[in-house]
Amino acid sequence: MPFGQFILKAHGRCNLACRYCYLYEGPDHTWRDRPSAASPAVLDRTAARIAEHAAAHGLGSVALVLHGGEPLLAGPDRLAALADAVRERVPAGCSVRTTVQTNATLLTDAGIATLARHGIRVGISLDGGLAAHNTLRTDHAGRPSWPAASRGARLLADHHPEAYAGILTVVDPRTDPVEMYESLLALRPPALDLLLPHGNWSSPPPGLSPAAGPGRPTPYGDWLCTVFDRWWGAPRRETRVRLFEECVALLLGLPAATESLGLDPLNAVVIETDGSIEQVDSLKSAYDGAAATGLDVFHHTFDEALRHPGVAARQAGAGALAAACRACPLLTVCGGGHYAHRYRADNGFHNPSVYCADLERLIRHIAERLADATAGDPP
Amino acid sequence: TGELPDLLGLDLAALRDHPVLAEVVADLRGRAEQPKEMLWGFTNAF
Repeated sequence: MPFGQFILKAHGRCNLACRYCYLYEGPDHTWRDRPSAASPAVLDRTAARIAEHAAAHGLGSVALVLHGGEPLLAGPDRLAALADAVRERVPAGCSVRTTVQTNATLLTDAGIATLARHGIRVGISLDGGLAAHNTLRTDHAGRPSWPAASRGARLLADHHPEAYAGILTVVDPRTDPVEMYESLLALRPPALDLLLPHGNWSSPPPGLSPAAGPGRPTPYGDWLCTVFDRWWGAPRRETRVRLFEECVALLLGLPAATESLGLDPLNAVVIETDGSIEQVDSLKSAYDGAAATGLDVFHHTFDEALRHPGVAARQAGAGALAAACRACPLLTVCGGGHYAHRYRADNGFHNPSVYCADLERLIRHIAERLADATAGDPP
Repeated sequence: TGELPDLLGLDLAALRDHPVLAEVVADLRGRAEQPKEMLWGFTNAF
């Protein structure tokens, strides 16, 4: 399957120093040897390669994600020029859906207006909707990012709702799940995604003891189930929640648009600031250099990247899963969970997710609620 | 435990008195026919 989602590292550094960051505080150090910002030559070659790929595969639409680091360190004007360059290069009839994913601290009214004028929607990353949720998100001097980030979020919600894509939040099971969810709702996002923190069997996520075996506590699953019930039981859909809605899609037998669940192939590729073509960043939480392919936009096409074994494994569905996953009744919904969460140092990614029990808890919970709600509509 | 409840084959048009379910299913209209390369699954961004 061709790539459809291009993650461009518009800037390779971040103005924050979040203490849990898998990119800068994790085992991968490749960022240290790369330029802080992509050069005009890298951006030009990237736009040309995306257009080449879209033409070769007759793509009707591609997604361009401006990422980092903190992409707004490149400035809104440069991001706008980049989005325009890709749109100008792709074949007629191919649309380019562009988003920027930011920590929101550098958002200004004028900057958002520039992005919106160039068809770029803004996703923001927060640990919750209250100052107390965001204490680990500090700048390099240890100062809290929340005052600036919350100001940016309010600018989006109050003045540019058409450019507001949503909020990403990493689950922290120590927080009150309903308070967390409702604090995010107060920022009026059109969508949320609730992400499990990157961890694996060799480096377990906070508060998880995967070696405890069957019957172990499922703090992440419990937390998500509580949020699901608050979201599902509301008198209207107050916001879209990607994890929950894609789980419903899978339970109904539909394909999913998330790498967190399901067996559908991942068709995302990353272009680093030096032009390197890489697999998605989350792999960097496993080991140093885990996302590398050895390819770059100056010498290689994206078709060549499709043939990389790591990319192929993300498109192999059940064939890439451990035997325990292939035999599991939740196989087509869980899909082994997020690829990065399967890693173990002695055998790579050929394992169930370190979150296996938590995912089972959540999926069975959603299946029960969905079965109850649809009881009057027999197949 | 064991198998999940069988939710396959439900009539999506009928699913569209549960407001959240109705809106979710409305968003899924056409999902089955959507080209797979347009199902963008990268989760670290919107």
